[in-house]
Amino acid sequence: MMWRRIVKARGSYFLLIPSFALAGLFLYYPALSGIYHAFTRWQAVGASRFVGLANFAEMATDLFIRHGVVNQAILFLTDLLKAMIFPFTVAALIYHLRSERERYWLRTAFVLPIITPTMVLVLMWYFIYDPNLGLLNQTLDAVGLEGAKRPWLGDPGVALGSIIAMGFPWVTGLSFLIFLAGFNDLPKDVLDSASLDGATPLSRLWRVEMPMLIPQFRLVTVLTLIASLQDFGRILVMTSGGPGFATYVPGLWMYEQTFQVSRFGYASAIGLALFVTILLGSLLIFRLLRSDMES
Amino acid sequence: MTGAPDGRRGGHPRAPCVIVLLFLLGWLASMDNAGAGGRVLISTVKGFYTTALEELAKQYMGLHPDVTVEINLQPDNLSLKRYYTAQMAAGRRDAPDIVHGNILGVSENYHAGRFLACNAYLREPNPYAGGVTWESLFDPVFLNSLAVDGIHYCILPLDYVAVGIFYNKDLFERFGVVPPKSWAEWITVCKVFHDGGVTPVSVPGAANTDMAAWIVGMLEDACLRRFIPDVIARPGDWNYVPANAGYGGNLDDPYADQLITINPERLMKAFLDGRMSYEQPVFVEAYTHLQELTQYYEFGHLGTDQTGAYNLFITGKAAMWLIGSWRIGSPMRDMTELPPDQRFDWGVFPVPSIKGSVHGLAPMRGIGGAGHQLSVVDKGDEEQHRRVMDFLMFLYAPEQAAYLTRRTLEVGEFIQGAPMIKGVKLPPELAEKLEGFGRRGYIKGDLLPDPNDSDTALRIRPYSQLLALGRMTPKAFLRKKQALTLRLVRKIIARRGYDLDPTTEDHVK
Amino acid sequence: MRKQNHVWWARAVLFLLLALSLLPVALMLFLSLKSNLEIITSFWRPPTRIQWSNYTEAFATIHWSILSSLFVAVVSCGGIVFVSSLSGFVFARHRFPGRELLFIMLLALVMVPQVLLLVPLFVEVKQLGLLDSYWALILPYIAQGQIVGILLCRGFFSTIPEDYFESARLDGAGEFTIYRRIVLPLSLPILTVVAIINFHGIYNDFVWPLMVLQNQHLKTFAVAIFDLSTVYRSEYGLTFAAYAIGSLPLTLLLLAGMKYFIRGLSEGGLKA
Repeated sequence: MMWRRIVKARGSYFLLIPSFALAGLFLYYPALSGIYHAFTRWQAVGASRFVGLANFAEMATDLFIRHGVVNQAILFLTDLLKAMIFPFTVAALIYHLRSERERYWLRTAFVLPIITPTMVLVLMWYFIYDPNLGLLNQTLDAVGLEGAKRPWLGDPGVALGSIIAMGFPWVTGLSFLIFLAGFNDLPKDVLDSASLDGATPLSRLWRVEMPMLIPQFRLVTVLTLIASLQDFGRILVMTSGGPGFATYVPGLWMYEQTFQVSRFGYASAIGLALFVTILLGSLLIFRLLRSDMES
Repeated sequence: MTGAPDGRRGGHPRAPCVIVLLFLLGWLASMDNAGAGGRVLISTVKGFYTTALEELAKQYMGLHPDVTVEINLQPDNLSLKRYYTAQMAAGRRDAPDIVHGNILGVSENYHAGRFLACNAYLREPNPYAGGVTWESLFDPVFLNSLAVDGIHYCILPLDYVAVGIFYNKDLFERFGVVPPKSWAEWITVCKVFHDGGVTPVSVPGAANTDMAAWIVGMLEDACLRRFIPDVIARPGDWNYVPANAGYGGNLDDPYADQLITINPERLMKAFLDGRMSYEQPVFVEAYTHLQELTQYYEFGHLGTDQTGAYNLFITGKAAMWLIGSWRIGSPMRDMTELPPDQRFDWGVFPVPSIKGSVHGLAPMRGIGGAGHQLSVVDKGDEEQHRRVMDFLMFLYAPEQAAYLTRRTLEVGEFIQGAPMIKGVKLPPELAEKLEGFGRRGYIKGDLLPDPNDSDTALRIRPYSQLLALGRMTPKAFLRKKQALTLRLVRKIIARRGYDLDPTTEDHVK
Repeated sequence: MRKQNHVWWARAVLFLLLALSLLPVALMLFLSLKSNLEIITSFWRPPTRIQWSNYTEAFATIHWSILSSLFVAVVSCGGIVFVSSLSGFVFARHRFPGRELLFIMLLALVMVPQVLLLVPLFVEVKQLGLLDSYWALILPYIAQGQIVGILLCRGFFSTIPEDYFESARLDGAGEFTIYRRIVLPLSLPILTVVAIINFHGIYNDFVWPLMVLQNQHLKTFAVAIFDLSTVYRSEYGLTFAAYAIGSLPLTLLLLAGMKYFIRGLSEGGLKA
């Protein structure tokens, strides 16, 4: 019965072979190897020793993880706000412009900065934050606000904030593209009838357009969750988790455990925990942000 | 609503076939083509005598046509670590043969069975040096200082890296101060600059630069030397040497303890018993002095990397720059490129000792660090080891070693410090600046369980930073450090299989 | 009246944000024309002498690597586009047992932290004998890049009316022909989006190529950039010039494909 259906669908399965062959070989195999090692003690050389949940027990008492989780939560929430507010606002503003040509050019212009390599951005912000010769402090000096000067990356109180502020104005990126596309997809008739009813642009945005864009919000949230929990590159280069524990995140600790200390088992355990968090988080998001449009 | 498609005409699925074909192509394209004789693979960081090394490799291949010497260049230490870790995980046969031991952590690698012990090879005659034993080409004091438990995991480095203080002579003159001879004087000098609106000391404090570790090493050495009588190998201990009998405990002689041996089991026991402890008054005194110094570091030093710290010095905004000899080339070159009105006269002075100590702090000594420290990966293949050692003997024969330094200077690359090979001449200006680091002996690494343990270094770092910010008292910091040290001691005892009996040698050679 | 005002401040805000977004690009070009020492000592001031030599020197070091990166990126994106569209199509328009499950199994892979994969993947690539070849880069890139591509393609294809396919099937066309003749042309816009997003990531990746390419001649652009500096001295002027040169292919690609790109965003419906 089921078997019959499977045989009947063999064409579909066949067409999926390229995807799954590649995924199986280059994603599943290493991922499963990594997940397996989460339960072992392995120094990358010689045999690994099965230790059950010992790594996870260690994680529970590890100060770096404790601080890391708090920092990561803050980073995720701010990443989400940045991904939602700014790209959405710009996409909305562009959408409501009268001229088609203006819309086209502005879209192009906002997409263009994507060519800047990430390293360039990081170096740039490093120069901006340099406590003595950087743009930020020099500007504060110039306008007479010396008291506001801080060691932006050297003070535990502001370091995390500095990392969050990187990349201002946070418009260009995948979220922007998604919202742009979403706006363009809105059916004209619904919007026309709404404005005929005398709704102001703002209330129309809030009552009509945004609910219709819930799938886009959902996608952006999931993608942000995935990216945010994995991204430690910017932290590694800017502060390496310091000063103190101010900017540590679990992803960074996992990286250091792998390449500085060679504790693969422990690092894999952190990786597994991150994976489970992302997975559960995504499922939760899909559940919470279910759209009425999609029944 | 379609059911599963069943039409088969046309569109024979090529996709899977293409994938398989790609695979085969890729596999064929990357067939291993190692030479018949053998291959020696060196993994090194770009800029460490790179040009000279490549040329010498060619020379060697000319002498030995059946051997290929390959050099893998990594951009920095972190990349080297990643590369090494991945290669070792994938099986040693193709992993590098020669790597930088000091970057990767010598003793942990040895005890994980990854590095080869070089003792036997050091005792052999070096064919490229006229047949004298390889050992005799090196300075015995230095060779000993690098060994762990009497085992040489690394070949002696080419150069001796020192940490010191670069200073702006013009600024010093303007403010009427001279290079300090004691720590207290140094603080006074710092205060003069601070009050005058000039950054006293510029230090790269960002986490990935780890400058803090160097000065801490010096400071702790000054603390630890008073414990030598407790942990020195006694007659009957497995590593007792006759030189130990002559140790007089004179802390003012920086070379007094260079040739004596410390018994590791005694060291471990001293920590476990609490006879040696970071919480003892001598450490508190040292770290209090250190914390006082950190108040004169540049604004936001924890957020300043190598470039930022250097910038402050080269633009004349900081009077002093705490850094190592490997940066000596930068101001030398940049000074000639600056517009004339921005240039200044500069020199180097050594880190001053703490005088008049209440709890027995010894004078400061040199870091005696190795810049270019090469280790050999243990591949369990005697023939391969011979091949690798032969190349190293070639490289470290006096003629080639001198060539390394000379050629590096010629092509404008940087050297890391004073060369260790006898008979290498440096340009006079360079030699003069390097003199500034002083000759003060070397800190004794074996007075600590494992000064290079990466795990401990990672875990103490946040607290060191808080200490430097003045947010943690020295006592609180030392409590944390002591806890981590005890943890390390237990780990080492397990790892090396110590039975804590000083008379028996426990671990495998 | 209110509409006028609304448009006025909307434009102002947009242009301000645009200027700020383009600032890094401008800064990169600005710094690329200064000498290293000037960047260090007077970062924000205009160069006293324009350092064209930054460009010539940088070009000399990296020109081959740009070709390498282009090769890897183009082949990878080609593979990603092909696999994404094929699988996206199947997931969107076919019914078969386990469809949702298989889809989630693919999606979950994107949630595995990259760092976790680095070492096992390296070991595997080595065992397959792919080390030191471009395939060690291309195949994992395709495997990873396809996932989000499939997500987007599936979303797109589910919006296409069934009749397109119905008539073709009635004419007796096989699934692959349908894919080739109908699906592919229709989906050009969304595929452009997928291609450009992946191109950017692949072109700038340096951690993986650094581990996997030992032969110095095969270097990709992001890796070759490190050749410009040494451990002792970062050559900022040269580095920024090199980034400026290296960004050209992506810029040209973007400008060329902009029409399709924007269309892909307008028609596509980028949603889950």
